[in-house]
Amino acid sequence: MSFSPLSTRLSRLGRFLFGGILALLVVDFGLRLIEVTPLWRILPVVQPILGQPDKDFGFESTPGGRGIWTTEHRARVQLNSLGLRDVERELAKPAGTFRIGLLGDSMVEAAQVGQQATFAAIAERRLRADGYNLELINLAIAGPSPIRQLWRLERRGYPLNLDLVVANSAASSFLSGKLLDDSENPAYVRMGNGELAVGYGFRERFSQRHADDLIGRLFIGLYQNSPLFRMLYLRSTEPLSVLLGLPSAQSASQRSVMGLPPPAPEAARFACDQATAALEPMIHLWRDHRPELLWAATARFLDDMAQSTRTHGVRLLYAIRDIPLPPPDCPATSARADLLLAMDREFASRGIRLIDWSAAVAEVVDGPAEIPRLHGFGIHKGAGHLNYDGHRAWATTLIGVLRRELLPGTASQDSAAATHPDR
Amino acid sequence: MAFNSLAYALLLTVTVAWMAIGPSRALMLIVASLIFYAAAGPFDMLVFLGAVTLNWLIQVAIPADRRRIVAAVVVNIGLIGYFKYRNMLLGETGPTGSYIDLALPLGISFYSFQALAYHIDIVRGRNRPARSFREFFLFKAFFPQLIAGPIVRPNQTLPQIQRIFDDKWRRHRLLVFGLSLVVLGLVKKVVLADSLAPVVDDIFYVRPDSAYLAWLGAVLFTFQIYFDFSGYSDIAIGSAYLLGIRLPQNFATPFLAASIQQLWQRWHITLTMFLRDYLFLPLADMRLVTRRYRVMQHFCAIVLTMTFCGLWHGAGWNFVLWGALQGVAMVFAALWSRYLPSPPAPVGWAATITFFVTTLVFFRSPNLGYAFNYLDTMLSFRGGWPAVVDDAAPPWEVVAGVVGLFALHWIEFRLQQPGVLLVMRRAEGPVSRGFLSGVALLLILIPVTNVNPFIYFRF
Repeated sequence: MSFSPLSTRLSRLGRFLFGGILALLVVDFGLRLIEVTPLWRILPVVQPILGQPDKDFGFESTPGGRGIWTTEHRARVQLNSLGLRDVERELAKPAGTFRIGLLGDSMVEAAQVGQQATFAAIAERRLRADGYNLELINLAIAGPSPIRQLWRLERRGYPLNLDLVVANSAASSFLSGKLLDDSENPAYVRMGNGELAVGYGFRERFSQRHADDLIGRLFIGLYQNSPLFRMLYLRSTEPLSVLLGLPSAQSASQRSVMGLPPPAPEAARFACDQATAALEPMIHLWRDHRPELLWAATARFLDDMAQSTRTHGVRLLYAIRDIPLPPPDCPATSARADLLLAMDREFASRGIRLIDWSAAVAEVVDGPAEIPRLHGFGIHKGAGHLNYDGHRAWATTLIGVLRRELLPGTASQDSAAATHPDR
Repeated sequence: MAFNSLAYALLLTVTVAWMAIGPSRALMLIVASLIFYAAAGPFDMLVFLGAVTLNWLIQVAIPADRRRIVAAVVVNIGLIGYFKYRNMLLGETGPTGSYIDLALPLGISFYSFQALAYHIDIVRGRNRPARSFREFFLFKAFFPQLIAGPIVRPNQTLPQIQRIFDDKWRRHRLLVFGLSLVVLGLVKKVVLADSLAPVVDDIFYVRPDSAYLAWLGAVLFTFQIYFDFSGYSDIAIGSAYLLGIRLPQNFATPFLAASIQQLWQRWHITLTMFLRDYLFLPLADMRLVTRRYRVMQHFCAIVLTMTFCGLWHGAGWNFVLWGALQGVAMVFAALWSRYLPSPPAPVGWAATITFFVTTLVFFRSPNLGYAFNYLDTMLSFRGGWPAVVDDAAPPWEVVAGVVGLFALHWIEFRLQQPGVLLVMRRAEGPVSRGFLSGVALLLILIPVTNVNPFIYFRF
C-alpha cells in the first residue's frame, strides 16, 4: 500500500475540515431560515434557552429572549424587555390602573402557547373588555422551586408597583425538596447552629463561576444566538446512551403502534386510591409538620413571602394547585378537607389568602373529571402543561377568583362565565 | 440500531475506514452487522441467528430441488406466520384493537423473504449458492439492508460479498455519491418524515370531524410513510455504496406516476419485484383454466398478489383490504387501458394519487372500523373551510405546505437524472466529502421531540 506525501495528506485534511465548516454554516443558516418562515410550525427547530446563569437567582430570563418552543407544543416565545413572558410593559404604573402580578412556574409562564393565548393574557383582555382598568402581568418563570417565585417578585415584580400578587404553585413543589436544594437556585440550607439560611450552593457550578468571564459570555452569546451551537450544546448534555441513539428502534416501536394512543387508564377505579396516596404526604407536611426539615423550609418560605409582600404593601393570594380531588364517595374527601383546613391555617396566620386552585378550576369545567382534558396536546392530551382549552378555563377561574376576592358584587357574572369556560 | 443515530454513524465510519485500510474485511463486516443488530435486543438476535442457521441447514442438508423450496417456505413463512400473524389467526388483539404483535422481531419480514428468494433462485439455477456459512451469513446479515431492505436477491449482492471474501474488494471511487444518498435519506427521515409524524399522529388520534382535517391527515401520512421508508432505503443504499456494495433501487419518485401500475413499479420496488417473480408469475402461469379464461386468471393473480402484499405489511384485515384494493385498482386500470383511450397524464396522475392517498387510510388505521369512519369523514366533505383558531396555521399555509411536498418530490425526480451524477463526479473531493459528512452528522444531531422509529421497522 502506498501513501501520499505528508503535505498532500495535510492538504486533504484541511480541505475536508473546510467542507465540515461549510456544513456547520449551511445547517445553521437552514435552522435560522426555518425559524423565520411558517415552516417553524412543522420542521425541526432548536428550542431556545430563554435565560442565562445569574449569581443571585441561579438562572434568570434574558430580556428580549425569543425563539420557537418545541416541548409538548410549538409556539413562538418572546420575552419582553423586562425579561417577562408578557407584552411590553412600562415600569411606571399608568395612572388609575390596578396592577396584578402573576407568579408561578412553567404552568403560568406557558411557553407552549402563543403569548396572546396564555390565561394571563385572556383574563386581562376579558376583564378590560368588561371595563376594569387593570393589568395582569405575567411574572412567572419555569422551575419547580417555590422560592424562585419570591426572588422573582423581589427582582422583577416590585419595580412594577404591583397592587396585588397572585402566586400559583403545585402542591407537590413543597414536597419535592427543592426548597432545601441550592444546587440550581437559592434555597434554605441548615447552618451549623441548626437555623435555616438562604444558601447559594449553585454559585460553585462551573457555569456560574465562568458566567462573567470572556469565555462564559461568548458561550452564552453563542447558545442564545446560534441555533446550531445551541443544538450541539443541548445534545452534549444528554446521557451518552441517548446521545448515541441506543434506545433501540425495537423498544421505541413497542411504546406506540404507529403513534396510536396508549390505552386509556381506568381512571374511575383508581382515582380514589391515587388521591389517597397523593394526599398522605401533603397531610404529613401541612398538618403534622413532618418531615421536620421540609416543614421548617416551607414555613420559612411562607414567612419570607408574607414578610416581603407586607413590606412592599402588596396583597398576596396564593393558589395551590394539584391537591388531588377524590371522587365524591371516596374516604379521601374528608382527608382533603382536613388538609385544606391545615393549609388555610398556615397561610391565614401569615396574612396570605389561600386558594384551592384545582377545586376552583373544577367548578369552571363541570367537575374534576374534566381537568385532564385541559392539559397536554394532541396524542399526549391528558397530561402536561395547559393546552388552549386549559388556558381558557384557567382564565375564567382567575377572573372568578379576582372578582370574588377584590371586586365583590359580581357573582352573577361569575356564574355566567363559568357556564362558558371556552369563552 | 437506527440509521439516524450517532451510534450508527460511528459504526459506519469505523467500518468504512476499516474496509479502506484494514485486513479481514469480511470478518469486519460480519462483526459490524452483529453489533448493528445487537441493538435490537437479545430476543431478536436469537431469532435472527436461529433463522440464519436454519436456512443454512436447509442448504447443506436438503437437495437443490422442490423439497428445498418446500423446506424454505415452511421455515421462513412459518417464522413470519408465528411471530407476525399468530395474533390475527387466534383473533387476539392488542390494546389499540390491532393484531400487530408488539414483540415482532426486528426486520423478520425482510430477512425471511430474502432467505426465501435465495433458496428459490438457487434451486432454479439462477445463482450459485454461498460457498460457506460465513458468506451466507453476511449475505443475510449485511447491516445496511438487514432490517428493512431493500430485499436483495442472491445475484444482486452475493457475488459482491464473495469478492470481499476472495480479497478482491475495491472501494467505489465516487464517495460523494454514497454520502449524498445518506444525506438525502437523512433529510427525508429527520427533517421531513419525523416532522410530519406528530401532526399525522394528532390528526388520527383526535378522529377528525372535518373533511379538511381528514384529507390533510391522509395526505401527510402518505408523504410521511414515503419519506420515512424511501429515506431509510436511501441511507441503506448509500451506506452500502460506501462499503463497496451496490444495493438495488427501492423507490423512484412514485407520486409522479400516472397510473397505479406505474406507482407500484416505483414504490418499494424490491418487494414488488419479489412478489412479481415469486408469487404473481407462478399464479398467472399455472395451467388452471382454459386459454379463454387466462385473462381472468391473470386478473385474479394480480388481486391475490396484492392482497398478500397487504398482509405482508401488517397483520390486520385493514392491511388485507388495502392490498386487495391495490389489486382491484390494477385490474381496473388494465381493463381501462384495454378497452378505453388513455386519459391525459395529469388526469391519470390525479386519479392515481387520490386513490393511493385514500386507500392508505386503511394502512394507517388500527382496524377496519376506524378506517371506515375516517373515510366517511373524508368523503363527506363536511366541516367546510376551517377557521383559524388557537395559534393554528392558516389553511392557505397548510395547502402551500402540501403543494411544497409535491414540489420536493419533483425536485427529487430531477436529482435522479443522469446529469446529477456528472456533477457529483466533478465535485468529488475532500471538500465535498467533508461537507456531506458534516451535514449528515448534524442532521443526526437535530433534536427530536418524539421518538419516531422507522415505520417499516415493524413489518
